Amino acid sequence: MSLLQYVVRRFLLAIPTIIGLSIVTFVLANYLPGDPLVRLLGERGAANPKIVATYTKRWGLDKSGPERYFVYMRNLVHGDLGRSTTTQRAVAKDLFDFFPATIELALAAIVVAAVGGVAAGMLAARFKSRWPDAGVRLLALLGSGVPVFWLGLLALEVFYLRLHWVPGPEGRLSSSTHVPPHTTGMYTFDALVHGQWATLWDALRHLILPAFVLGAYFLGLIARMVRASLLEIGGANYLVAARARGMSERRIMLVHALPNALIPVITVLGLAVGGLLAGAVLTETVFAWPGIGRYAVDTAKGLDYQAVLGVTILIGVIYVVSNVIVDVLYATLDPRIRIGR
Amino acid sequence: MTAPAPTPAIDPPLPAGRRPLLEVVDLHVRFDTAAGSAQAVRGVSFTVDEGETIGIVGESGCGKSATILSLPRLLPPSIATISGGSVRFDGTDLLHANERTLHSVRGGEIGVIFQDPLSSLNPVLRMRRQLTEGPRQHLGLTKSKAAERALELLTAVGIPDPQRRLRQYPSEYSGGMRQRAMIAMALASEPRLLLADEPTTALDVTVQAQILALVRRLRVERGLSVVWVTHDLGIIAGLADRVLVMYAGTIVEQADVRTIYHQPHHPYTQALLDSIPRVDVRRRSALPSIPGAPPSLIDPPLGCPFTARCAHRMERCDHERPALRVIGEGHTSACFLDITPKKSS
Repeated sequence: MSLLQYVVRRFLLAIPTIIGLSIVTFVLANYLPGDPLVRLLGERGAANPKIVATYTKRWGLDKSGPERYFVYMRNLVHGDLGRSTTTQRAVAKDLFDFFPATIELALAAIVVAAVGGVAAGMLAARFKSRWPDAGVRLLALLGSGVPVFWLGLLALEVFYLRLHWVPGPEGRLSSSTHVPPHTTGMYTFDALVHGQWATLWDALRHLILPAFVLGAYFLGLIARMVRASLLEIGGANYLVAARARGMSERRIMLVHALPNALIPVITVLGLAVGGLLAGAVLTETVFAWPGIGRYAVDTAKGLDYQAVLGVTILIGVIYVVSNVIVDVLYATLDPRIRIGR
Repeated sequence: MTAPAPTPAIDPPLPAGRRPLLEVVDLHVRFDTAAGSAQAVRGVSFTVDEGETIGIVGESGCGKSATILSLPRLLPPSIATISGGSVRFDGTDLLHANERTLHSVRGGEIGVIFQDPLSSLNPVLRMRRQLTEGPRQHLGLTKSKAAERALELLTAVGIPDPQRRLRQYPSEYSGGMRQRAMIAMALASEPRLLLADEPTTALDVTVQAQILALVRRLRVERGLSVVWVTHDLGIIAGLADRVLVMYAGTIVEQADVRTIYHQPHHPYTQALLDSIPRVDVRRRSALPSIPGAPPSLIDPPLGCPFTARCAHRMERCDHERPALRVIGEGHTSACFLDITPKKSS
């Protein structure tokens, strides 16, 4: 099976998963307490028979549950996710606005976790049972043992209040900095593309601490996994064979051992996407980061039915898609998976 | 007045033109295991001349693999220690060589083929990568020149459709093909010495014969010296010029291949020869095996290591370890027996 065939197959298999996900989400959302009309339209809207009639028709509210699902899905395909009663805006528009902030934060956290975790794991494996190893293992344990909100507050106390290295929990940019022109909605990227270096620097300074806090758990996890899998393959025959060909220890580590050690880490990265989105809810709250996590919290508090549904489906789809990407990465890294089907 | 400075030792003049490519003197290797420290190699000495093929035979655990893998220092330092002796390759002292020298000797001067070709090939790297990294480093070839060379090598070891094979991963090769590729890899940087650690053990007899024929051909074409380790005396008969028989970490007999087969001296060598099936001898009884097991190397016996299993055991064998002594031209044996006790039929 070629890599392309494999990729296509994995994506096709993801479609039923996403449909199932939307059904479960839809059914659960229907059990939110309160009058659905009030939830959708607010007290004032629900009192107006004309608005009620329009909404009932548009969302099939007089129909059975399964039919309502199909109406919802039809609207969703057309980009209509309903209205948020919290922001009084279209949910699709809200998601479009809030989502880039979360993506930016999650991507930064993944980079922190992957780069930091692999480096720390290599260090620990290289100096097994010596002090760098002990240090990495302790930090890894702390990173994955301490809850995100506490770590966030602690990090703010140290790096903002005491050391003044980073700005406080004021969102993505200082109030004096203008938002860069919208290309992706990710400020660092947009500032980079448009050459606004001051904005880029400001965005990075705001991003670094939340990214570390959010990525800490997976940094610790990846560090421990890389360490364990490097030690496990440390005596592998193919490494001895590479040594017998005269390869340097450095090349053996980077070219021969690391790709093999990273295979299990890829799985963790897939899980990380789900974990990071969950952690984003807390991190965004602590750092006043205007992303989808905070949007989810704010709308859930107001029983904002369509906003919650929209967020949940979006996060679910991202989770499924990222797992497909992980499977593809897997197959790229380990050719045996493709052949073994 | 101070004592006169000791006269520097003067090496005996080398015989004209003949100098061993590899010279191993009194090699000791120790394995530190949970059960204790095992003396895997206990004072092994031998030489390999330019173009010569040496066979090292012995049963599992006799120290034959430890001996050859310790030459380019490939044993894992965490468990194996070379505790004594010297290894000189073309004048270079390998046991005291720095990393840089070792990196250029490994692959560039000494190629190694391993027992299990599948686990000795990196599963996640394409064969091209693994075949070209050696020549790029040792011969300074460019990426494309090295790829051309890899293509020639695969052709030379008899792998059909090499262009396609280079793009594949080891898991896509058959067992025999993997061993051919391993040989290609070991020879890629034009080494002068090939060390083979039981490379045909995992292969079936037909493929084994093909691999042996391949090595015999390459040896002549490239003027290689070879040290071939095996437990199979049958393989050695058709390949080696000289044979070392190892037992419990020591060499017990050494002779040219004809002498080993026709006038073995050491009772262990004789027992080994008796335990291989032969088509030219009619047998009525079952094939004899050697009773007992080799001694523990954690606490090696004081006397001859073979004494417990020996048919010709004498009293002095129990407390005195026989040294290798010359018993014929180019023939040494570590046994007290005076004469060849039995002519092998």
